[in-house]
Parts: sequence; C-alpha cells; structure tokens
Amino acid sequence: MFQLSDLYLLAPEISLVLLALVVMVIDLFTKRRIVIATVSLVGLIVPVGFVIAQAVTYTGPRTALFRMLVVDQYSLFFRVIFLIIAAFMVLASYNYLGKYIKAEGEFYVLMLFSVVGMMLMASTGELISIYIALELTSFPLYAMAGLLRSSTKSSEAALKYVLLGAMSSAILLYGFALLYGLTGTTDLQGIAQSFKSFGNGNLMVIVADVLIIAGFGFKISAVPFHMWAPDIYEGAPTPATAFFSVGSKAAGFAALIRILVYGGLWQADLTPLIVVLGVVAVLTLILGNFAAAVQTNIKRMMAYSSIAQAGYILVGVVATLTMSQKNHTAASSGIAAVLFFILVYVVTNLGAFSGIIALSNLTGGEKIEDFRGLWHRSPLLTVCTSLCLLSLAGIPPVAGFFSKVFIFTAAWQLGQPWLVIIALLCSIVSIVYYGRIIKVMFFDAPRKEERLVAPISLSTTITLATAALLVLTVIVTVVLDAANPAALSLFASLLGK
Amino acid sequence: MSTPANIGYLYAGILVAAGFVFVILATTVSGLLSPHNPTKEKLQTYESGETPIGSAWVQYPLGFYIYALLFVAFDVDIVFVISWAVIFKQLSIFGFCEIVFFIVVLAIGLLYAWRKGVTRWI
Amino acid sequence: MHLTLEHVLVLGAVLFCIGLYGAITKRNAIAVLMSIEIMLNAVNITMVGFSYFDTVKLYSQHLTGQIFAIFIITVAAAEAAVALAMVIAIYRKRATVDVGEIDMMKW
Repeated sequence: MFQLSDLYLLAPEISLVLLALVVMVIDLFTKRRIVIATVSLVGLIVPVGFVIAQAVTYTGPRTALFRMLVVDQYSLFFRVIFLIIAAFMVLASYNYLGKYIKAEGEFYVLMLFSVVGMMLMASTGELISIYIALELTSFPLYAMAGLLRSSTKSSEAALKYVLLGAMSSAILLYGFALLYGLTGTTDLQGIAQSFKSFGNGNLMVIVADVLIIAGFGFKISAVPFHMWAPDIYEGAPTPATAFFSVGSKAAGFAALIRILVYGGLWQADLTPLIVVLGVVAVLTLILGNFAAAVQTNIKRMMAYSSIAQAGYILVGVVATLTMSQKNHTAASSGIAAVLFFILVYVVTNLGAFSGIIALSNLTGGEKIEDFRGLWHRSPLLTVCTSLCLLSLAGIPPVAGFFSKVFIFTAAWQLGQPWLVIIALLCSIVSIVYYGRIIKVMFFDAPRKEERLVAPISLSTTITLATAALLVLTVIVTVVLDAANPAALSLFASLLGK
Repeated sequence: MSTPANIGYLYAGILVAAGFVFVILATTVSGLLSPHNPTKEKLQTYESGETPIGSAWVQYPLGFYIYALLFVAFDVDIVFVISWAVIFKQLSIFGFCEIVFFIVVLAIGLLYAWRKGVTRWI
Repeated sequence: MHLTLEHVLVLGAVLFCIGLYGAITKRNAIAVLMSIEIMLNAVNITMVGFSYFDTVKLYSQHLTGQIFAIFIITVAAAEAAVALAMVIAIYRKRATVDVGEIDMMKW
C-alpha cells in the first residue's frame, strides 16, 4: 500500500509541478519577465536538491506507488539530464521571449510541465503512466511550437506537430494494448516475467514491437518517422526548437530503452526486433546526415543533424539488444555508452542552439550565409558555437568525440560491426556540414563591420554550455562511472529475481 | 434435423432484408403515386413557422468554441472523481488528499483561463 | 455462437486501420483529427476486450485494461482540445483547414 516514503521518491516531480503552478499564478499578476524567470530558475533548486538527496542516499532500486514509479540509477541519471535542460532553457530563452514572444509566462510554465513529463517518462515502470507522461511531455511542446502568434509558419508547425504527434501516440498505444493482451499486465516487471516463457515465432509479439518502435520513432525523430522534424524545427520559435531537439528526444529514448530492456521485450523473438531497429538506425544515419549536408537554413540543418544523432544512439541500443540474451553485463555497456552520448548531446546541442539563437538574433537571419565572418564581429560567441559544433561532429579534443567512440566500440564488441562502419562513414559526411558553418563563420568576409554584443543571459548560457562541455571532456571517466551502474540497473530486476 | 447454431443470424438477415425491401418499396410507390406541385414556400426549410433567414452554413462565433473547450476539459475529468467516489471509504485520507490536489490543479487552470479573459463573451 | 475475444480484436484492428488510412489520406485537418480519434477508440476497444476476456487469467490485474481506456479517453479529449485550438489559430490566418494548402515549408 501507500507509504509516506513513496512521496519522497516522487518529490522531484511533485515539487516541479508545484513550481510550474506557482509560476503560472505569478504570471497572472505580474507582467515583469525578470520575476518569472528568476522564480523558475530559483525554484528549480528544490527538485535538484531532491534528486541529489536521492542520489546520495541511494542504496538500491526502489519502487513506489504500486510499482508505477521506479527510482533506480537509470531514472536518477535521466532526471539530472532533464533538470539541466530546464535550467538551460530558462536562461537561453530569456531574451528571445522579450523580443519575439508576448506570452512569456506561458513559455516557462509549458516548459516546466513538459520537463515533469520527461522526468516521469524516465522513471515509470508501467505502461499507463508511461503513456500519461508521454502526453504530459507532448502537449506543452505542441503549444510551444505555436507560441509565435504573429507567424504563420509557427502555427503551421504547431498544427503539423499536434496531428503527427497524436497519430504517433495512437500507434504506440495500439502496441501497448497488444503488450497488455499478451501478458495480462501493464507493469513492466510483470511483462518481463511473463516474456520469459514466450518462445520465438509469436506474431503478436513482433507486431507489438514494431508498433512500439514506430510510436517512439516519431518522438525521437528516427527515419522513416522523421518528416515532421525539419518543418517543426524551422517554424517553431528557436528556444522551443532547442527544447524539442534535446528534451523530446532524450525522453523518447529514456522510455523506449526502459520498455525494451527493463520490460524484457528482448527475451522473446530477438531477431526481428534487432532487424527492425537496425534498419531504422541505418536509414536514420544515412538520411539525417546527407539531408543535413544540403540545407541552407541553419535551423533545418540542425533538425537533420539531430535526426542523425538519433541514429548514433539507435546503434547503441541495437548493440545492447544483440548481446542482451547472452551476457547482461556486457550488454549494458551499450546502454552506458548511450547514456553518456545523450548527456553530451544534450549539453552540446543546447550550447549550439543558444549560439544560433544569439547569432541569428543579432544578424537577423537564419540562413547559413547570414553567419559570414562572425569571427570578426563576435569572437566569444563564434568560438563557443564552433566548439559545440565540433563536438557534434565528433572531432577529437571535445566530449562529442568520446561519446561517439564509446558507442562505436560498444557496438563493435557486442557484434554489430556493419552498423559501426556505416555510422563511421556517416560521421565523415557530418564533418563536412558542421565544418561548413565553422568555415563560413571564421574565414568568409563579414557582411558588415560593426561589432555584435550579445545580451548577457545568452552569452552566459552559451559560455556555461561550452564550459560544461569542456568539463565533460575532462571528467569522462566520472560520468562513465555513473552511467555504467545506471545501465546495469535496467537489467537488475531480471537478475535479482 | 437439429437446428444449426447460427440460425439466429439467418433470422436477423431475413429481418434486415425485409426492412430494406419495405422502405425501398414504400418510397418508390409513394413517389410514383403522389402529385408533384412544388412552390417556393413548400421548398423552404421548416423552422417552426418562422421564415428562415440566411443560410444554415454560417460560422459560429469563437466564443462558443472556447466554452465548449472548458466544458470538455472539466466534463471528462469527472470520470476520475466518480471512480474515486465509488471507493471513497477504501481509499481513506490519502485518496481524499489526492482528489483535492487534482481539483485544485484544475481550479488553478480555470483561474488562469478566467484571468486571461477567456470567459468574457467576445 | 458467442462473442469471443477474436471478434473484439478484429473489430479493433479494422477500426484502427480505417483510422490510420483516414489520418494519412484526409486533407482536412478536422477530418485527420477525427480519424485519429477513431484510432484511439480502436485501441480502447482492444484494451477493454483484453481486460474483459482476460486471456492470461491474472485476476488481480483484471481491470487494468478498462482503467487504461479511461485514461486514454480523458487524454484524447485534451488532445482534441489542443489540436482544435491549433486549427483555429491557423484558420484565422490562412482561412483554410486543408493540410495540403498549409505548406509554407518544404524541403
């Protein structure tokens, strides 16, 4: 039954909901943006504190509220990631909001509610609550895409997003329904137990797998379910785009991996699962990278780049599944690499996006050619943005290099050499298009001579992101020490009993 | 001979077919027999004796939509309140606190909509 | 002849396919939304069917499918509200709800 300690385990989410409600009420009575932003930022200390307290006093996986909430290292890892995203978003959006969006309070409220949903997606062990968390994540995102009320493109993006998002969750739900029918329970541990007795060749298992992958494929923008991403990234307000590209994707992967690994779907019919996910990964890598190379609008390029990044993560997931039936400890190295990759991707992409927000705000254009010669006009911003882009491309000194290396070595060792080769070839393509922006910024002649001064909140954000990126580069082993047990904790429920 | 198990479907099928035949027969026969003498008044939409004004295909004001939206949001959430009320005693104090929190969140939503001027008739 | 789980599942699957077909082919945004509602209700039918016939005989979990259906219904209502708000926002600017004509961005 219910105990008070259950509330403690849920405390980060509860406090974040309360924070969002407080911000919502404050927004009704004041029009001053600085108050709303400060309250959001300071209020984030409470959930962060709860997460830290839970991490410090961590003794082993715990479940609460009838096993709906699972607090293991995996969910703690993702909670940290999502709180980082929330803090960055409050800072990065501050100036943009004043300039382009009238509904400032709404932006923060929606963002905070969405972050609650993301945190729940990583920490629920039950299909109903995964669905509710997914929709709690998505609804605010739909509204955020349409917040630019004067722009037709923004409304268009919101409409497309909401229609495709609703369709994808319907597909996902059908997969959930089949899973429930097969096992008679929606509890992921119960599902894992009953999948132990399933043999190969059960058609319904394969159909359920495919539907679930298709449903989450939309959320993580994997090819062939990616077509919404470029339009919505282009049309939505840029801070919202940054938020979609990191938050929605990380949350989608968190829930997908939770279902596939913790829910024990790999115990029956592994081959079709690997084939489907492998094909999706290869298509995502190839289309994402090649389409990014031909874009002229920088937001569309970043959209395809984030599709491509999803491809690398999928390689890690496939690698884990390949080995999952034979050796849990080895298989978890794939998930550990994925966790590390997601953390680095989140920090880097937020940095790159704040750089792009700043530079396109200052130059007034979103085309790549608008970025010509920015090195002469705003050296700090240019250097920080370039570092983030280099990390996305996986160039050696920065953290992005290590995250790619970990994924590739894990996949190679777990027996997917072909995927690694394809991914490697695709990363070479990616160097071309990330490098093109850097080349335009550093070596082309500037359009105008006058210096550009970025607003303080944006330059703080991008400096912080770049600093975080450099710190991540230095403390790679520390993060890996956190990621390894987190990955193994997904298998723990199956090993323990 | 024993009655086959599916005999009920046969009866139902015959009934459906008979229904179709009757309706088609009745309309064609009445169409053939009745006199045709349409006038403008006869072709008008019947609105309880009033003369209809304009077309029926008009756009309704957006105010109705927003009211409908608020109604749907609260209407559907009653599902949870009712299922809570059914086992009120078993859930005891914890269930009560939860439902109060649920309603408070909804109320804040309503407060928000009200303060933003949604409930004013546009 | 009695109603069995297969009947319910086939009904659910057929409805789901009709909804999916409609959601992909329809050009009117409202019609797409209605097709999505059909898909969600197909899921509800499947859930309730599984819950009612209880293939796995786990009696403690007997009601889970029905509870899931209740949650889907409420969330679908919220989803429809959000989507209709978007449709109205775009109708005010473009005076069309045809998804084919809403195409400012193409790659």
